Amino acid sequence: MPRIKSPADLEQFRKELLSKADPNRPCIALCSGSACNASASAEVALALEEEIEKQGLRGSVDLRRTGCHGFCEKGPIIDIHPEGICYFNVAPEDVPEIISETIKNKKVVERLLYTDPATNEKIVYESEIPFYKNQERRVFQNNSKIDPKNIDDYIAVGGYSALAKALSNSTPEQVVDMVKASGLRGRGGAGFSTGKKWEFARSTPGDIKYVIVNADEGDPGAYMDRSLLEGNPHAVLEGLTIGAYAIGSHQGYIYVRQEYPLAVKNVTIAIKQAEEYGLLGKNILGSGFDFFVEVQQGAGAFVCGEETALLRSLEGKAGEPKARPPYPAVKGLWDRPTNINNVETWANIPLIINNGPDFFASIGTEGSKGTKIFSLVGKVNNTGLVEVPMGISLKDIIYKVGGGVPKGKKFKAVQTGGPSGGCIPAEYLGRGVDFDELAKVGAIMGSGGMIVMDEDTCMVDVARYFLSFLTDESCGKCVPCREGIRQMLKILTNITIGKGKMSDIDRLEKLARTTGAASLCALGKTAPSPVLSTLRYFRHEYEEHIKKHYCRAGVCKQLVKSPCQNSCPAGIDIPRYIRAIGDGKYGEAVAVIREKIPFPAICGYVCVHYCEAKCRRGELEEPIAIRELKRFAADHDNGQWKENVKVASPTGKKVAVIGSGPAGLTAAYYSAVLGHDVTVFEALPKAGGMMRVGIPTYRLPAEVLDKEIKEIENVGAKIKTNSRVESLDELFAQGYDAVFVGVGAHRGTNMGIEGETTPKIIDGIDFLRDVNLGKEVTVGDKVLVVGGGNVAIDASRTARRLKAKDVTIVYRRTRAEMPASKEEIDEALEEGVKIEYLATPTKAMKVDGKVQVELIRMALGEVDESGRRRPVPIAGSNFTGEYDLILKAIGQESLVPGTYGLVVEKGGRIKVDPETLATSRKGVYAGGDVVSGPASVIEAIAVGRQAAISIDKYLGGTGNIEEVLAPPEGAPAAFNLEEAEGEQFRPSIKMLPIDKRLKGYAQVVLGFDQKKAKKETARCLRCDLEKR
Amino acid sequence: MDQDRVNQIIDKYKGKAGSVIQVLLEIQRENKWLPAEVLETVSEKLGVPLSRIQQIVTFYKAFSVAPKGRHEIHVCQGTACHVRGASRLLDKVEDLTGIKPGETSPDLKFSLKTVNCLGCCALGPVMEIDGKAHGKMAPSKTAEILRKYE
Amino acid sequence: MSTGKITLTIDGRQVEANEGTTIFEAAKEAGIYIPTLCNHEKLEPYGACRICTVEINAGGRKNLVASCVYPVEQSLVVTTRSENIDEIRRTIVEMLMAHAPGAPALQELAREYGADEAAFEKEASFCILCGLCVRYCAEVKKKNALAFGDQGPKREINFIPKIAAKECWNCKECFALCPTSYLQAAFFLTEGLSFPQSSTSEG
Repeated sequence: MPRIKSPADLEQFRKELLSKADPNRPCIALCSGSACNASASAEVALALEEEIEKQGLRGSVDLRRTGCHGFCEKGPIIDIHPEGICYFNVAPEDVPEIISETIKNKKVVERLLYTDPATNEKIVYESEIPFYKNQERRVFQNNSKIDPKNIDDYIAVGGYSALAKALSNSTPEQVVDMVKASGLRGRGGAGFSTGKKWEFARSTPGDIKYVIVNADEGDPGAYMDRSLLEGNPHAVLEGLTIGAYAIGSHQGYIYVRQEYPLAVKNVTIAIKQAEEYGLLGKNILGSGFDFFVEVQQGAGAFVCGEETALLRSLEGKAGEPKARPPYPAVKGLWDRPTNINNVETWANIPLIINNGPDFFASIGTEGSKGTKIFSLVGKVNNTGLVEVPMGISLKDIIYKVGGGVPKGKKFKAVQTGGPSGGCIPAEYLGRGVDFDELAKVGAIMGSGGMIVMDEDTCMVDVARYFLSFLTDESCGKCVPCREGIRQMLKILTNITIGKGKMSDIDRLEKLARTTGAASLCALGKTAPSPVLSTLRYFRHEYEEHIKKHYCRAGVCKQLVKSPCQNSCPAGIDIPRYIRAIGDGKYGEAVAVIREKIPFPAICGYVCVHYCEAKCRRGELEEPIAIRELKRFAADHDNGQWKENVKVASPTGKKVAVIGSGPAGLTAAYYSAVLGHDVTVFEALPKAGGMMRVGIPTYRLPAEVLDKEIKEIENVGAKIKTNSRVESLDELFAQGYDAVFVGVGAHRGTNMGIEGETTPKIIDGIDFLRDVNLGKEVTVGDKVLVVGGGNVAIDASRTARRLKAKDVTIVYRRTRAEMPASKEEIDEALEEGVKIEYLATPTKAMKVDGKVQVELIRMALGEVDESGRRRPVPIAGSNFTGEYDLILKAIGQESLVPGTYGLVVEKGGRIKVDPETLATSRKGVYAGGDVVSGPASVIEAIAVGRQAAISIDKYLGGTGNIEEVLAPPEGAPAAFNLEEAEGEQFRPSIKMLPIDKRLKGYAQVVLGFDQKKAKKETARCLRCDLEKR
Repeated sequence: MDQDRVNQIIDKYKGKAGSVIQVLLEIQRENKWLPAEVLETVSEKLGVPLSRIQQIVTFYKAFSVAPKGRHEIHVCQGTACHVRGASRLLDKVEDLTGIKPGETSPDLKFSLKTVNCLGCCALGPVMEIDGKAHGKMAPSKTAEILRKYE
Repeated sequence: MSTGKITLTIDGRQVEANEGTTIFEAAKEAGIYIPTLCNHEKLEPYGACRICTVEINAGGRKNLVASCVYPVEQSLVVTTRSENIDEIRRTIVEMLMAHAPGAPALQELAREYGADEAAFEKEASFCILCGLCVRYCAEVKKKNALAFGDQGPKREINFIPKIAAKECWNCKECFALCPTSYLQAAFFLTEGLSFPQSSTSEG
């Protein structure tokens, strides 16, 4: 092994290495970092070695086992140089093909390439893959190119030239100045100016000084340092040596957590090789400067990431932090001046020396220069390590690099800074990430952990999780941390199990103040941050857990019987009725459903089934067909539930319900059962609201609707149709004691285009109402429907039934963003409806007896606060079309008479107290679409229940609408494990053939038969029986 | 663990100030746990008070002062694994092994521990057995994997 | 060690102190009382109980620090009582009273700061982990018969049976230091359960 005696020697050696290398020789760079190792990259390496041997290619192909490439979601990863072809999820079985096809025949193996999820295109080269393309890999770039166990690789890419430069061209003070000028701030989380810190240690007198690499990376979810140390240990060593020179230290330590065995191994090998080459140890590069480095391992204590605790650990003591001042730069390890920096900080030093401080400072923000490596993990498509310029927005990291949130779930928050950090909600996604910006919204950038959370994450549970972590990791020396965190954890735990009180929030804040102010070290001082930031942005979740014992994300096990029931706005006991159907007890199933809603059949036909989106079975093959099963039960009901309905004796109170939609009828039903004298006033000729006039009869047959509305009357509620209510004063004058306003949202929103009032442009809602009420409606041949929700779909399919030959829906985004339900979009397409995506009308005018519309094409631009990409018009892409009829279905508004005297907001919506549904007027309650805007039948039903509760309480009652309609359930039958094993998909749902559908309004979805229904119930995982 | 081997390890670090934690880590790695006599030997030979050694071996999570199972199961409870369902995985492991974190099965086959972030966050939830990481662990796959260990 | 003199302000009073002394010591010299549970003149300052927390203002930069470990600085302005400080002391006492409600030192502090003994659920461990016993035996007697064990909320103090059996009966100086009198009980328990068989407490 040659000893490199001078900078000139080093240059010479590098030139020799480069001249020996053949740039055209294929090199297979296989990622061998810890994450890929966990995905069996070691087996892939073996397979590669064997295959290379087998195909006689030894000597003509290089196999390089490199460090972490960063795209950990898709490991094991192979880069094929010199082309830059990138293969993902490589398995040992793929190896023979890779060698034959790509190495020998220069052909690409398609199935191993990256597929862009937006375009479905395959991408061959790493540099074109969005995950890599949108990064700025300065510190991390060599990870995929070098074998960390081979120092020659590092030297060949320019390694140790910074050290040579520093030792030969600069004094130690000059090196410190360069680092100061660069603006580099510590990457471990605290962000102190590295140059200034070095200066403190430099200026403290003393012959013995220490420099230390803090590789005790402990934030859960953060593994940047591990990958750097495993993949490019020499970069860290080089930086450390330069720092030692600058400060005047001759002894360095690398403190690595023992949970990183590969990092320990690779950095130990690196030290040995550097010493052998004379790049470490005595008289480095002939400069006369001596510097020795030792590796010491942590022993499993998160607190040892705190610098003073780390020093205690190096001294062979328990990792208890010590008070500062004095700072380690003055009195550190063994009371000597000591400089401790994070792994990534040290790795940046060679870049600063080689390229100069100005280059380093050329990217980043005013206060935060350079790049930062983040570990982007959690609910994000492209999980892995990403290096980006400081100042890049959270949005760009998560969506451009990260590829957004998987499975179409909604983004909820991003957690940064680990247990010392906070959760940032969607409204701040546009913020730049650096040391100062995130602090303004109650978070910190921290060491780089970035955990994306979606709608299925409970923010109260997140706070509890971090407190649990810190309780476990607190050293225990000081009272505020040891006791304070533990007490906060107790409170949080109680909240997550339904034992919380509203006063707990005050107690949490009080504990946060003391723990945050009086703790000995940063662990305790920052411990309250996750709690405080989740309280700041997600207080409603805390209140729901406390007041309603409700965990909206479905996480807190004590509060969630099953994910389906938890997500049902009415809280129907779904697993129970599914079991009943499986046992053939259909009447009992309906009784169970009826305990929560008065419309089991209607929901069985048209519910939006939020439950299915949360069904655990959906994580395996597909969700249980809960809605179809509900319909099946309702269609086979024996009416046994009626025997248990107990209508209370008359209370003498009169309740008026305005609007006979699901909200109003539900409120009427429960109010009548409680004994009140209820009258429902409906302006239209028939009762049912949107169920009657919005939903076409091929989805919800009139007989089904009529039958269930009859049951409302059977408990004593009176329904008066053709009875518009003009004033509430009159109702009160007539002796009504309370009123519920559920008039819905029956007016279509305007498109806001020129020519809006052109004849033949009509409101989709008006159109559907006319058809459903039996009016004569002609549509002509060519119809355009504007919008992407269920109204647009219903209107288009109805137009087809009215004999329109050419029906097109135009929607400004793509199918993935359409709010309409997937099944109905499919059914519409089957029925010949066309959908034009990414277009929107700009103006309309009358031409002969038709409407001419000008439209413009759209492209999906930047992500907005809702997490969806905003559509942006493409200039000059206008096109026109002529239609017999235009139906607008882009939104709905409400028309509440001013004479009601209620406070109304944008869109005509009535303002109510979110808990009681009380309006601004005493005794008047409101709910449903008129409050929320267009929602769903099941949400309206849930509102109706709450309205009945509030009204009963207002009228002096208990507000208890709970009913027991089903017999008590015996012990559920044992789960048949055999039946449950293996992949099982839903039985097919019988549908009316397409040719029959367009003939009229016959039911399209024909549902399950007895056999299929029973089979489907067996797929249910019975989550409600999970032990808690 | 035999006295000679202990002395060998101690001698490797002799004289080095602050090496007591490294010595104990090596002994722990080989022997899987730290018997009381070993602690006394280390205290004597390195000149570190037994009180400090006692604090060290109970302070740091890497050490065990009770005998351990043949196979160490670590279930990662890091944030990324947590949001991907790590607690359900832990429940399953508890069910299958009959022990809770911190415990060793009576037949000395398994010891179970929860750990904070193994650093394979992209593969969450992660379970490590004897240092081998198993990523993307569905609770249904657990039984099959545990069966492979004697 | 330098013998420079530092002038600082404590509760509005100008105080002179030697460089290298702590705020707590400087205050004590000047007759200004700051409460503490873990500080002792014979022992190295420990900074664990945090009751001695004070507000400091160093040229406009404010902070809350433990006065027993913070070195005096020129022109430092120190406040030893305020609403913030009182809330901190009150909360700390409440946390400790969950473990040792009867301790006279805690009861006295509770009266002064308006602490509610029942603020936290009782978990009678009786030890407030001030560390006086462990530190006294290590620093003054140099016998190291006591050790801290475990960490975080599970932190505790233990007698090391082999050493305690030899050293403690003729010493017991740490007993008087214990603010909750838990120490005596711990000793006798250890003696009864864990002392090596060959030695018994005679005398």
